[in-house]
Amino acid sequence: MRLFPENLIRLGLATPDIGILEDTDTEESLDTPWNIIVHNDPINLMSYVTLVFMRVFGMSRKKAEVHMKEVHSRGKSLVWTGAREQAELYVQQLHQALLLATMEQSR
Amino acid sequence: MNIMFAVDGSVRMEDIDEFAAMLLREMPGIASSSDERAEARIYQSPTDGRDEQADSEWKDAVEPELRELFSSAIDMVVDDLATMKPDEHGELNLSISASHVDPWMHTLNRARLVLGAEWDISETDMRSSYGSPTGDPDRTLAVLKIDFYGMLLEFFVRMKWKN
Repeated sequence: MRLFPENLIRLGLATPDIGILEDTDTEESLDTPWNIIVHNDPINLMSYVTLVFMRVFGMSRKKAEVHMKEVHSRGKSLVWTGAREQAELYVQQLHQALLLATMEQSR
Repeated sequence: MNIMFAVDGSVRMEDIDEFAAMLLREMPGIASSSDERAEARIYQSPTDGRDEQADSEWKDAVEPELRELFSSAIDMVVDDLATMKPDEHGELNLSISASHVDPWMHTLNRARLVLGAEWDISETDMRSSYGSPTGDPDRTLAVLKIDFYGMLLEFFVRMKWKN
């Protein structure tokens, strides 16, 4: 999980400093969506991978099977794109289900 | 071995033969392996090294949570397996409550992945019918265990689809 300074302040673990921030590219990087990629592995059952996609992303079985087949045949599938915090939650759920999953910023 | 699914989501295995019972009893130990290759497979980094800070924060914040969750799932399976005893006819039976089905799915899958990582099992190995290319009987047994746990996992997945 990302430990943003504002979260640490909210948790009482840090105090806000007052000052002038230099112009940064933060806004741009926050706006750029993140992709979740699921990678193939030789062990996970195809039916199990389909079930995990249905559970985690609420996909229909048909859509989940399309992504599962893409993982199997192409080695990976882009299964979701969106905000970083949500991406982290989804990746955590995929890791919990023991699927090989990573997240990367869209280009 | 007969596997039955009840409408309440519970599972009952009946007439479990000794070999299947042995594989079932071994499963939590296999799943709990602390082998380096198995650990690397189970506990992944979210960006695969592209964002070192995010990966480091993940290791500190998320991984302990996953470890606790996984350990609790394996403990539930161990408790269930402790009840697998011969009945009055000498048959081994096992009941799994609906709330333990997900922990069972996790442990079955994890045992498969651990074996896969420890033995570096490939797609080719998985397609072979126990005719190990290396002729290594231990490796062949690992593939057999992966298949056995996979067969049980497939039953659970199908049950979930029906519910």
